Amino acid sequence: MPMPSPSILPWLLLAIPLLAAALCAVVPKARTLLLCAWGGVWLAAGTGAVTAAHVFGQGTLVAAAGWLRVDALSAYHLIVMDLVFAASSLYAHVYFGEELASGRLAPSQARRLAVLWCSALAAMTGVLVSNNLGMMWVSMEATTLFTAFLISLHPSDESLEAMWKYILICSIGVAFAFLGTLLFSAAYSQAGIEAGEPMLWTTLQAHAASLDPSLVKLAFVFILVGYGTKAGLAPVHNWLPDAHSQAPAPVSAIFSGFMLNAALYCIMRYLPIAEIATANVGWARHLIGGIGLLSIGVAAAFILFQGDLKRLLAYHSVEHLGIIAVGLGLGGLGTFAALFHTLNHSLCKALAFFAAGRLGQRYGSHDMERINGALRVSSVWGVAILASLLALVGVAPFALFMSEFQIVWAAVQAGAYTTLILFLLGAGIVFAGALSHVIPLVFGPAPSDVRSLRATSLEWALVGVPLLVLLGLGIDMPAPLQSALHQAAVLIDPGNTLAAPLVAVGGLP
Amino acid sequence: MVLVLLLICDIRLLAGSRLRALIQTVALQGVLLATLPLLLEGGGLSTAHVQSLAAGVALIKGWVIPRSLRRALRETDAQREVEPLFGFNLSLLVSLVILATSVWISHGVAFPGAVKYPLLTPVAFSTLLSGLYLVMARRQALTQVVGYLVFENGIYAFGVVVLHDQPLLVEMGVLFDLVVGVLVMGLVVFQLERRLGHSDAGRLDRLRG
Repeated sequence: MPMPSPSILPWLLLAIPLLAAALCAVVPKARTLLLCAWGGVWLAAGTGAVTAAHVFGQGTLVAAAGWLRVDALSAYHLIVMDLVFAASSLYAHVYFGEELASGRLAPSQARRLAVLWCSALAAMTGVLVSNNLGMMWVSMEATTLFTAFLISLHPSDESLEAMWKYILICSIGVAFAFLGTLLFSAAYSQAGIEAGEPMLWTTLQAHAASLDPSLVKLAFVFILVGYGTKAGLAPVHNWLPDAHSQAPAPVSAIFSGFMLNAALYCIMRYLPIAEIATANVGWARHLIGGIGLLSIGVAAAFILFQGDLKRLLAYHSVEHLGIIAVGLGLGGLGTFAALFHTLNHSLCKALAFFAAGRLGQRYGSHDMERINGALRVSSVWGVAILASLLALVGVAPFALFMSEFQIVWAAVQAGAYTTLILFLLGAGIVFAGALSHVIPLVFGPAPSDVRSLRATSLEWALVGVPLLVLLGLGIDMPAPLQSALHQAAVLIDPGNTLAAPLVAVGGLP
Repeated sequence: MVLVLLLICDIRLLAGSRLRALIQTVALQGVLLATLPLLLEGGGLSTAHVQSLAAGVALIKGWVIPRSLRRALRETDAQREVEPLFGFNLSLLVSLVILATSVWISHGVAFPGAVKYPLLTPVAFSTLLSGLYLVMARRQALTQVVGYLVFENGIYAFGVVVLHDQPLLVEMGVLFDLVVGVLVMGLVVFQLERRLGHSDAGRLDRLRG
């Protein structure tokens, strides 16, 4: 049998979720159409795995006259996205299956959920595979529009309010990013280079050195504010705690687990261009690192006094996206660690939202005053919330500890001691604040009116597999992952020479 | 001439209190914007690409979006902006400040294309800032949607200044996002109204901390 050309893969990545969405729109029965959605996601995730394997093995994939392009950075994010979506779909099968059986989820709502779920996957894939920066923007805005109605899947005063804030703040924010996109391509037109299309990332990247620095600086600020809004970086994070706390748990998991990273991915794309255009003095990296530190600080303050479990997790997202930004700001080993942290945070945060959602269904609330003794109500989800919260505050030996440690190491190497001190201070406050929430949440007696939960083997797998992966990655990083991270990091930080220090960190206990 | 009209639209948007008039003004502004690329550089740029884009923009910004906004308006009983955070006279003053700031910004940065059309950048910026002001300072959800549209109009005007050779597909994608965005926002306004009995975004304050 002749092998089809691998350049069909980017097309398949976009087509599968779109077809699944279309299928979900016409299938009559609620239960069947939900299964179609989860199946579609798994099929897309499989294609994503094949694509990533191809990219890391044989190099960049290009299709559609250079408009679609999957390089190591996109492929790495593709893997993270597919892991989050595949796990969240299994979890959604459990979560919404129960709601459908109890009548809390009407068939019409199930249809809306399934269609939007698959469309959101298609839009996020679009962000990752677009080489055209205009199309990348269009896809990013599409993710906002598709996911807005997922927040208010169960309409209530609060969820409508959260949805309104989400759509208004994110639309305005992402519009700023469009302004930045325009300015970048304007800088290209101004440079008077004839070759290539001005909206393609590859052309901008190739000619970055000849762009006007003042224009690029202005453009990058717009990009950072714009996509930063969607990524939940402070001070433009206001929509995030509301949206994450009101959306159903599986939706929160994909929001926190990947949608924020998709926005940060857009910033990663612009970072090398801005750096090269401003003569590699670290201007753009300082800017993003500063915003990262601010995010950690703001999140730490809110985590300390948080009463709602899902809002707590939402502020953890602000913190961890801030940590990734700090890593990017440091460059070198920091870039590598930031990408590693992306994977760790996404897995861990998805697991945390899974647990918060299942416990919330039992307790009928996400108020931490009410959620007590989670271990007694459900051993599996109690373990999940305990382990994921500990991992989120950076307890060893989870992988998040390793990536945060690498960022600290990168700060020491770079001599960025202010960053180091602020980072450790923020992480310390988060650690103390979150730990004071965890203990009553997990241990202690449960309220008498809460029935205990008998978990299925699927639920055990949903908790066990991510936890084992997080533990495994915390102890030792497999060589393929290391090589993938290197290939992706070099794209963000072209002058990256991190081979030597990495061995030292990898060898540390 | 078109530029002066665009500016008058900005001022009218900030000083007006009746929602119906706001929607009319934003529609007018959209149509004016659509003619902008046709007027630049005379007939030299009037390729099929530019013409079809102008037609698309006029249709969407002048007809499709205002129509759905009017429908949303009929469903709500909000005909006027309720007690704005800043009074309408103060808003007039703000529009002057916005204009001055825009002129200042346009002088500060050397935008490509700004040499040829020195007035276009300040107009684009002042439209952009007016939209942002409407979103931030007004309480009625529908006025905020109008503000978002004005903001987008500003970006469009800015796009006309800095480059006129974007691929059609990208521009169509942007327009499509805009339409869907406004439709979604309109639907949220419906739901707010049906559920809460009002669409006063200033009273949406249950979620905090």
